[in-house]
Amino acid sequence: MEKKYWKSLEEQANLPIANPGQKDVDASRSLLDLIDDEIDSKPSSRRNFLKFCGFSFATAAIATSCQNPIQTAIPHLSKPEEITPGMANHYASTYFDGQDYNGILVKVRDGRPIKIEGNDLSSISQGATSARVQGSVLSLYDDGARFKAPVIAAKETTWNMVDVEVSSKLAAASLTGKGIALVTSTIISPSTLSVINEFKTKYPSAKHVTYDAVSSSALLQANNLTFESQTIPDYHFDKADVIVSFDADFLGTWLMPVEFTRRFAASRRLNKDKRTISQLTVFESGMSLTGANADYRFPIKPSQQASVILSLYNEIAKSSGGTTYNSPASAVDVSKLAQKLIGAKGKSIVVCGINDTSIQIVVNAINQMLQNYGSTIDFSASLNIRKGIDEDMTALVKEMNEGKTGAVIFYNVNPVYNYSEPKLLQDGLKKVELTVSLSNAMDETASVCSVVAPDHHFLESWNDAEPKKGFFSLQQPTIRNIYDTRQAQDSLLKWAGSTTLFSAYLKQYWQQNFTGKQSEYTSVADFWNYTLQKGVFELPAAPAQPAFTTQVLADAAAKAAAIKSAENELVFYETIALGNGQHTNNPWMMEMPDPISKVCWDNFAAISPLEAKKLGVVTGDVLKLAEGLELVAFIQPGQAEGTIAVAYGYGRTKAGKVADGVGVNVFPLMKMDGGNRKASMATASVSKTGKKYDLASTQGYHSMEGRDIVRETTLKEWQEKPNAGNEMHEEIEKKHLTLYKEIKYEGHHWGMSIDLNACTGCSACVIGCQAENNVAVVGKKEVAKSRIMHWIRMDRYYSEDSANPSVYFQPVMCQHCDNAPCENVCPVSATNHSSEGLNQMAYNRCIGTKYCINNCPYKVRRFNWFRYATNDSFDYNMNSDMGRMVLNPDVTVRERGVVEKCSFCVQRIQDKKLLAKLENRPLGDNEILTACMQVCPAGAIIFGDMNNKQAKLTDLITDQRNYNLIEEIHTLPSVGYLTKVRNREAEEGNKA
Amino acid sequence: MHLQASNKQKLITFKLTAPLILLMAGLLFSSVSPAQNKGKEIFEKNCVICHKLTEEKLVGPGLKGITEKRDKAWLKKFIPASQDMVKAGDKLAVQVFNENMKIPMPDHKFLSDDDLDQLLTYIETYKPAEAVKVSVDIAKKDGFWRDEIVRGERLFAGVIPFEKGTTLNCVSCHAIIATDSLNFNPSAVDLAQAWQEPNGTNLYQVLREPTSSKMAEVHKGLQLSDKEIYDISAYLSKVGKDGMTWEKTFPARLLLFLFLGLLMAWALADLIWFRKVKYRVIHVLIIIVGLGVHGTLVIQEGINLGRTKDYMPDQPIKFSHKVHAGQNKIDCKYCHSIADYSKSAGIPSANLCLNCHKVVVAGTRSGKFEIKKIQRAVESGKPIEWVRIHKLPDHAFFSHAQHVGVGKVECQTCHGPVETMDLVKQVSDLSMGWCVNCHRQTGIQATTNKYYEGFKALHDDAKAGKKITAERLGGIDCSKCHY
Repeated sequence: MEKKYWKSLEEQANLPIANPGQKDVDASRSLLDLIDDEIDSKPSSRRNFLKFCGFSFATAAIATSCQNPIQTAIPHLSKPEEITPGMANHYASTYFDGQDYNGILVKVRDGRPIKIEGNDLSSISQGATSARVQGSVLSLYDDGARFKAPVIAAKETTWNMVDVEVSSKLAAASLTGKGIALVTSTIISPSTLSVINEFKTKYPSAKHVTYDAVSSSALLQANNLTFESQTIPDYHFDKADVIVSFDADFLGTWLMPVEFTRRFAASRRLNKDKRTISQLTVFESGMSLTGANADYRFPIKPSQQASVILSLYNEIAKSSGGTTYNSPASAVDVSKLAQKLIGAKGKSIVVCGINDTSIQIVVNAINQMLQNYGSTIDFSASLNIRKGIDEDMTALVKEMNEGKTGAVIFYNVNPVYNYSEPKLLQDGLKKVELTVSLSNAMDETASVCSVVAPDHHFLESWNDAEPKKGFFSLQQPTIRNIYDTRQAQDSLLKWAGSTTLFSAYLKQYWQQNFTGKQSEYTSVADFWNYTLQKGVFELPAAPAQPAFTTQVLADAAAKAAAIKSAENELVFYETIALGNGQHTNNPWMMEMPDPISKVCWDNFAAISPLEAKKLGVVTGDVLKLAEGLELVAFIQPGQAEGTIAVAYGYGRTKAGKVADGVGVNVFPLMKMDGGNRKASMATASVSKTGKKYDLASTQGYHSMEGRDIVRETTLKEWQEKPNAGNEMHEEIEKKHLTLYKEIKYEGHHWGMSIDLNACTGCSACVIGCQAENNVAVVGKKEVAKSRIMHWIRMDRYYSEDSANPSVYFQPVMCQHCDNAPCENVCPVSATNHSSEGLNQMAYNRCIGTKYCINNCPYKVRRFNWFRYATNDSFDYNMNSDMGRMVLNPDVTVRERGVVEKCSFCVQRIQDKKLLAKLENRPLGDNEILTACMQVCPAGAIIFGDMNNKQAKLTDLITDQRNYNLIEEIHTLPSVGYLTKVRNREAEEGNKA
Repeated sequence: MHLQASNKQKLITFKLTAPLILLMAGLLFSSVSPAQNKGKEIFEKNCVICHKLTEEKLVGPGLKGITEKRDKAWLKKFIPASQDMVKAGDKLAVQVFNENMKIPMPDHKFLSDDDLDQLLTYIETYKPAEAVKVSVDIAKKDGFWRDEIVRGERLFAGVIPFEKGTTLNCVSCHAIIATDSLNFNPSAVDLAQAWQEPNGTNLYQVLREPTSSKMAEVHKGLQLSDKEIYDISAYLSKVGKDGMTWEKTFPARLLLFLFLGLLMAWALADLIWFRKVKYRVIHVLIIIVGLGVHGTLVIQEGINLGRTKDYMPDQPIKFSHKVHAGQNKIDCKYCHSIADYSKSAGIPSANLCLNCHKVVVAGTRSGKFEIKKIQRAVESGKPIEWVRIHKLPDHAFFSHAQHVGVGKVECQTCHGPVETMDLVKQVSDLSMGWCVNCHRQTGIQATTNKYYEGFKALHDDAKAGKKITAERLGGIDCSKCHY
């Protein structure tokens, strides 16, 4: 039977797709009549208008005898050695926003950081980045939100005034014996921790509270109880054959998604040498990125997780002779899964993202029984990126309310927005004499603090990081501070009475602590300079495996078994784009369509199709979810019944022009429960309010109308037949006939291959492309009109049952067809074929007929409806002088009325070709990295020269899994896709 | 010349009465004797880079009191060939060599005995210039009365002659109108700026004691009173504020266009209504010729719209490529050093200019004023704002590296014979047709650059001696330049 793929529920049910931009048209009248109507309704026609224009331009040109403006060319007075006008420098640095770590290279052109790439020397990110890292460069130029100067009592002031105010009040708090609290996000910088220690030495009553809005508090405590080590181990998904995830979205948001995606993709890649892949099973409530990539996925309520985990534990314990514990009936039969896990002892991973200590203890016990510690789960290079214990913050808020705290300093945290009890916190803050925010941009916390001592942006700062034990990296400024800001560490040092600048402090710290740990460089200066140049410094990890104690297990199992289920449960989740809300004011992040829902510019209540039917809810109805929480419904296939998922990170009020008033803040609903902050809650009932609200979704349009777009097979079938699922490719290739002379590509012939098995849909490529190619942000209204400008569209398809569908991701950019349908219809030849196989687009020739858009079978062309770079209605980043700083000078900013699309990063092609010619050598394979290929954490995108037989690309496009999109129409695309292979039994579908 | 006149006086009246001698001694301080003049010239040409006449050390030691400290005969031996003395083991010479970080002093064997005498006399008698005493307010640089400005303008333009007979006027050399031609003398605006900046030129001093031989030559016979200088400075303060006036061009083509338009309108009207002219041939002729000329004008203007061929603007410094690249044969890439490997060819930074102009302090035609501008820019921190001549539209990407570094194209191919231009002019029209034509005709380095080895058919053709044009490898693809 033919499997049906669908992109939206409307499509599955053959309903017309809702499109708010579309006008109803009277179908009984012919098109010509309609056009006539339009002409009659207007006083002058377009033709007449053009005639007048033509004449008046010609005469105006003569009459005014146009003068060209005088341009000046201003050289340096004294040219710095490293700067060459017209050439970019790359500086190794570090990205850490309190949540995600990435070793990065910052591309600086003429003094401006314009793009961030992954540092390929870093063994953690290995040259890849996430979408958030790609977007972070834009926040440097956020003119609206960033502080321009220090602030006291909502008035801009000088640093001297701030230092006097803060130092005197800190001293006063010290004298009166009141507490001083330094509230920070997780700090992975050893030197910053050392600075904090100096601060604590100066003020002995000071304490350092680590507050992670989205913490791994339960995991840390569980590890402390079972291993006596309050750390998070490293998970080697590449070494695992069976992976089970309980609500841990490790491909999207959990701990280190970039590194985990790399490892997971490595375990999923297939070729002639690697004949097998891992198997991923996911238990979750809302559809996450990890769930979408699973071989087996079980939608269950958050409260049912404990029963499933306990049953899994008991099943494994039974066969390996461990103690079993009482467990409520499991929502899912896990006996088969248990057998698979036992079969893969030492080669499996069970991860759990639930912030509940007892559940985490049981999961630890499972991994212990499966002998995963030391093989796939590694304590020797433990992760430092989450250190916050939720109760610490609760204790501090209590102290503040009791009036015991004299001063609070907030660094890189925004609890007024994302703490569980914002009211209590604000009341407490009113009782504190000195409240200081070190935030570099306006946020909810800074707005209630008496003093704001703005930090530099991270691209302006010195710092270091130790994301994993033994893995160090350095951060260096890539631009002088744009505003009158001061690095947070410098502020702390100053208030601690030190006169050292942090830059010097850092250097000294490194020279003292790390020079001796290596033998490569003998001189201290060499070590510092070379490490700064490389950005990373990695030490071999000493093997460490703390012993497992089972003492706490019985108690934990009992507690887990006692978790009660409710009829309706709300689940709160993190989006790929926004994190815990620190990226919400970033227009690139805001407009990035969620990989699953394809909605941007809003959060929503994701409801299961069955439940929606029961309640009579359709997407767009506003629901009342809980007391004080009303949110628009979005029917999400695969959502667990009885649950509603809502993303946090939205509903900001003081973040800036992009974020403010978008969506609803659900952080206050994430309450403390059993010592940890819970990401779910029971709710009495869910009801319709009768109100309507439009979501901007990129889902309904760009549909490929049920053709053979995604091709898939199962592992077993592929092992038997390498072209399984792709049988038609060969047939179609045979049938290809053409009347035209075949084009010969004498030089290069660029092509790309995308491995659907590796691609997780994380959408980093979408933002990487946007940053590289000056793609405009258009806003919610325009997105709703199908006018989003992204050059890469992350297509998401569902198949099978809408209650629990299989999900497929497919990045689609211009396919650079050798028989391109768009080229033939352009009346001015603005789009035509290059001698290297590129479908090139000459913007200045384009007159905007949009024929090419109509004729493109892949719908990858975008039209500039407005002059986004200068139009104040599009107040995102491109329309201000500061926001324009981020633009890539090598890529034209498109004018209103022209069509644009993926260019295969032709500027990068040209750049690397030139480099090869200058160095008098042939161009190497993999030397040219398109922006999407460079950022991809999964390594799913490979770009190269199809004429180069030695190229990696040639292997991929001759693979039997390779196919082209809609290849039957003989467009001869240069982009090939590799069939998706799932590791499951064909007849089982999504259920084990 | 004023200076020589006073010298002559001195020679004649040398043995006259004591009061006169005293009087002349006064004159001496405000002028320079020929001997000292020669000594000064030698010093400024050869010594000034490394030595100061104060006690301050530059590269070599400060020379104040050197004639007392060292024996004159020794100095006369040391200056022409110091290294020989060091090698010969002269104790003092070795000591001086070691004291100065063993930086060898260049030989000056070309200096005659007399030259050395004069040089040493100059050093011995050197006194730092004293400020000229004048009767007006020197410090005033702004806020002049209107009649002072007007009088200054007239003096500058030569409408009112100077009190002490000379027919010179300022404006004939110091331009007040931007003319797009190279006048090596500083313009009025230049003068105003140099005077107005903090620690700027002291007009009173400079006008009495010209700073270069070039200036001395052209200012010969100029004896301005304090009041005249004061008024001229008043005028300069206005010029500095207003900037250069632009020369108005005569809009001949526009007038022709309008005139023909009117003529045709009249012909048409006459043809239909007035019937004043009997022969219709005339009407028809007028209209045909008129339309023809109109059409030609529209097409020509249309094609040239946005193009700047023959553009030859004045630059902030009267820099001559003819002198540098042509006469002195400096390689283009000495200054435009990044053309080989960067998109941009690079305009040399001021410190690069100073590599040479620390030593070369005066130009043959421009004197010291223009070269001093580089120093002034460095000292004030205000970079030099050159007027850009060759510019491509933003949507056209051009890389010098590709053309100069890879294609080995001569600079002159696109920029014309720059080495013969005093003032650079845009020679090519930089139109797309011009680019594409060259790509069609120009051969690439197909056999010498290993990059092309991968392309078999092409490489074989190249080895067989066929010319491989840029076009064959996509040299006329849109995406070669537009992306």
